[in-house]
Amino acid sequence: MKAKGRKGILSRLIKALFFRKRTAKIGIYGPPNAGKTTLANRIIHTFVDENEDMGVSTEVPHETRRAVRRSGIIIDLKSKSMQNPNSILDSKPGRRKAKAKLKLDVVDTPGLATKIDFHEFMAYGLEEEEAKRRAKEATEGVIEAIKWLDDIDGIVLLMDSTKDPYTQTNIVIIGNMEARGTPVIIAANKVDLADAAPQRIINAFPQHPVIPISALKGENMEELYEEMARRFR
Amino acid sequence: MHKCLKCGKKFEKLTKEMLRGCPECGGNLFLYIKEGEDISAADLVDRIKIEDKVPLEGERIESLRILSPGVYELNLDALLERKGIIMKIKENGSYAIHLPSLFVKNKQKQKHRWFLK
Repeated sequence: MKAKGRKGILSRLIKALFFRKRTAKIGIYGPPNAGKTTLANRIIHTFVDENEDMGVSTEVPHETRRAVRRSGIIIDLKSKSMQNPNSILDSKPGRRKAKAKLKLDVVDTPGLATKIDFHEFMAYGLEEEEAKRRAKEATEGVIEAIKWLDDIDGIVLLMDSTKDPYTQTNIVIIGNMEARGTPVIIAANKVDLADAAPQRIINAFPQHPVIPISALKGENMEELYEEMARRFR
Repeated sequence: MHKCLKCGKKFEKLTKEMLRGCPECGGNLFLYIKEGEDISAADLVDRIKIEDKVPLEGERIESLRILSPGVYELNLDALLERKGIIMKIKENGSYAIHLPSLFVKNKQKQKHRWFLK
């Protein structure tokens, strides 16, 4: 028993030293209310623990005002594709084969915005003082989220499929990621809603992979994970 | 009537403050619309989609503007491009430069937090 345990440690060590790339740090970015925390929680629930949350998601924008990092998430595509017979894993010839296992650190970030006005929070029933405090924290959060970019290997840029993708936030962040050479996957979220138009996002940013998903309902998540395994390995 | 081309806000009269920029968003391009008689022109202006993405002020150096308590305007371009944080506090040209953000170079900078007063 003891020897077996030691062997396990040894083989893990060898694997860690020779077969594993260092953990990729992935940031989930996007405008407020795109569903970043919902996606982060979905990833944790699927691959780590159903009862663990990275953050609280609400309809109030700027709910996440500090970047939250969760280390060592193992994305195991094989086990997930077993559960889903409709998996497209390896089904598309010519595409780079997705690595079956991927170790990630995921950072859920505050929503990127160009203007933060406390009046916006008052519309959700917050008192003026509380709304102002939230606006201040949200502003700090945007700066913190941008600072995190220096330490990140790839980003999942989340967009709301029901909204116009041609926003300053989306364009600036994509342009900057291209300049830095950071890989970007665009997740066109909220496809479960009737007025979702992920095609608009696909047309707007043809230079990047766009995966239509619903983080809330768990739709098409597998394709996103596969793309992550392909891009961020 | 004057319409700000940045935020779309309409103003009945030109005020002194507007000479320095739109009181709402700081934009400095206005379009004059004749009241009543030139409705088609006004319609035309309304059809101009005001989008944030149009960079009207190329010379902006500040990464953050505090327009009033609880109202902040962030210049994502500057924040992404520059290492340091420059704040514009008032429209009278007062700036604050956050020096630590300019000097921190090592990996520790991710852990460094700065706070708004």
